[in-house]
Amino acid sequence: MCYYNGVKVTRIEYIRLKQLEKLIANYDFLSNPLHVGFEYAPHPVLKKQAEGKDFDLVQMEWGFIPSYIKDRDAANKMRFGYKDEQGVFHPMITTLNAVSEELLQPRKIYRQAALQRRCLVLSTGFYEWRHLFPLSKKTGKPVKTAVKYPYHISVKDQPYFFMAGVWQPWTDQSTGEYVETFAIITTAANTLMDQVHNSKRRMPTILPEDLAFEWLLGDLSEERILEIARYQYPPAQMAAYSIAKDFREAIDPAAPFVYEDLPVLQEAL
Amino acid sequence: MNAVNSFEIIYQDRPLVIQELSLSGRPMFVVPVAGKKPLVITTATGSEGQVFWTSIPEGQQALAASIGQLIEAHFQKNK
Repeated sequence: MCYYNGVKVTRIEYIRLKQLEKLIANYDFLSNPLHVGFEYAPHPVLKKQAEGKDFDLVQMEWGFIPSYIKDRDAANKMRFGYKDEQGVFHPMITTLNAVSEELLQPRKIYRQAALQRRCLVLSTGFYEWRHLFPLSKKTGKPVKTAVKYPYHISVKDQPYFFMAGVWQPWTDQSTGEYVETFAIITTAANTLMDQVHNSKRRMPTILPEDLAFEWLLGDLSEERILEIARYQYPPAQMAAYSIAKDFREAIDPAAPFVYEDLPVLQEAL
Repeated sequence: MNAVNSFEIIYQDRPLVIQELSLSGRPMFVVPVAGKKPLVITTATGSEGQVFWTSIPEGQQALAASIGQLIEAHFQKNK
């Protein structure tokens, strides 16, 4: 249980009040309605305090930078890909998400973080693309290139919810810059996300409050870490609706947008 | 942060102009403090469901509670 100004409050209320502190200080925090992974921008995260009994609301950079990356230049090469001196292109390595099933495998970059530095990523909602293959008017067969529709996904009746994450302290060895970066854990899609994110059939590991704080503060066995990391949030408690294809440029990126040709999602149970 | 309203209350025999803001969907009240940053107060819900006034950030609980009561009285009077 948390105290704010000496009064006992729930964790959720504590987080809301802490969020208001940041907003008042003109600190760009949860005020951003849309966090796009490939912008590698700061994001609000709950991090366990050093004593291990409580947590802080901090900002971390989304996009896990492994400790072997020496400086920003190397981090950018990892994130965006690059051509070496011989003209050979090295594709990007994406560290926005960590696959739950592989989290603790030996030599995985997320292993130590999953054992020692778990965090909770605060979210108001996220988006994913639904891929459809309508019948071609010319051939009568499904088109080869998918038509993509963006969806906004959130948790019903919850202004904020928790995604499981792992974080990594990182220092640029050239400049001394220190940042904390994180990756969001993903799990197999539930029956709702299976319809929305139907190209990859994955979803972020969204945790209810009891599991969220066990993930953040608990002294967990490897088995339990994997169990929580693979948790599938109940689809009936989630909401998904289509949004405009140019939502990234919209004033309200989460505004619903109806497409006449878009089949409705089947009710998720 | 959008200013939506301002009104006056009397605190310790002196008028105070309170600015009401809506921040993250929550009403907040900005109280001027001579020579210092203004005090921002709001209501929060305790773990037992009780509503209480609090300063944002923490540290001015007593002041938040007493000015909060005056703000409540203002709204009661102007219902």
